[in-house]
Amino acid sequence: MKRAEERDSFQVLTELFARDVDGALMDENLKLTPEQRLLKLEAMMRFTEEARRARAAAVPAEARRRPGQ
Amino acid sequence: MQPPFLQKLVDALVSNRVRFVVIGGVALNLQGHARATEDFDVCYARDRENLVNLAAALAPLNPRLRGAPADLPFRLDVPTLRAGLNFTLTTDAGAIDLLGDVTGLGGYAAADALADEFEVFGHKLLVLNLEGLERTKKAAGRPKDLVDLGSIAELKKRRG
Repeated sequence: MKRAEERDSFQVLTELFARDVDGALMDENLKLTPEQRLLKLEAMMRFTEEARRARAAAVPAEARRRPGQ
Repeated sequence: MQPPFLQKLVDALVSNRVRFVVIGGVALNLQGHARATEDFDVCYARDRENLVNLAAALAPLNPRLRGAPADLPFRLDVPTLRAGLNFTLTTDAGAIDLLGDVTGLGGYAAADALADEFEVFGHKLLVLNLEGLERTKKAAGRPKDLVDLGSIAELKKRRG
């Protein structure tokens, strides 16, 4: 009984999150080859890293702390 | 121009004949869901030959424990791999997680049974399929895994 309830709650959550998926973006991604998908991921990772470095260089460490830290 | 870091890691593993299955965020991207990830997760076979090959593959990339103090002695060799199971590492080519056992899935044999083959960077790679990814995400159950489960459900729908 408990396992059935757990399955149901997963199902509900999955359906909830599936609603937020941008289907058009997913379709575009599926048109790419697996290698193109990896290169796209790497470009995203490089951008994130560069943004982090730029922030670290521009903002003093004290100012980067969030309130309450 | 430097090859992309994922390619460096894949080249190192494949050229040393390491038996592994790509799992985690990179597998999800390969299966068609574009989302950010910061490391390359693989499930590796635990037989002696594979551990020898894995240690040889990563040695030139200067592997060290991620998040550990820089002065903590660490050497990724066969005894270390045998003594441990799952390793979160930083290398000169990028972050890689080596998993001997994957929560919700099991070891290499289980991952291999649920893997698709993809041609990437001139190599044939085993990549965990949507069913396998779904199992690992359900077992992990973190907020980001629930988001991934939504995407996996959509990918399944599109594949029919």
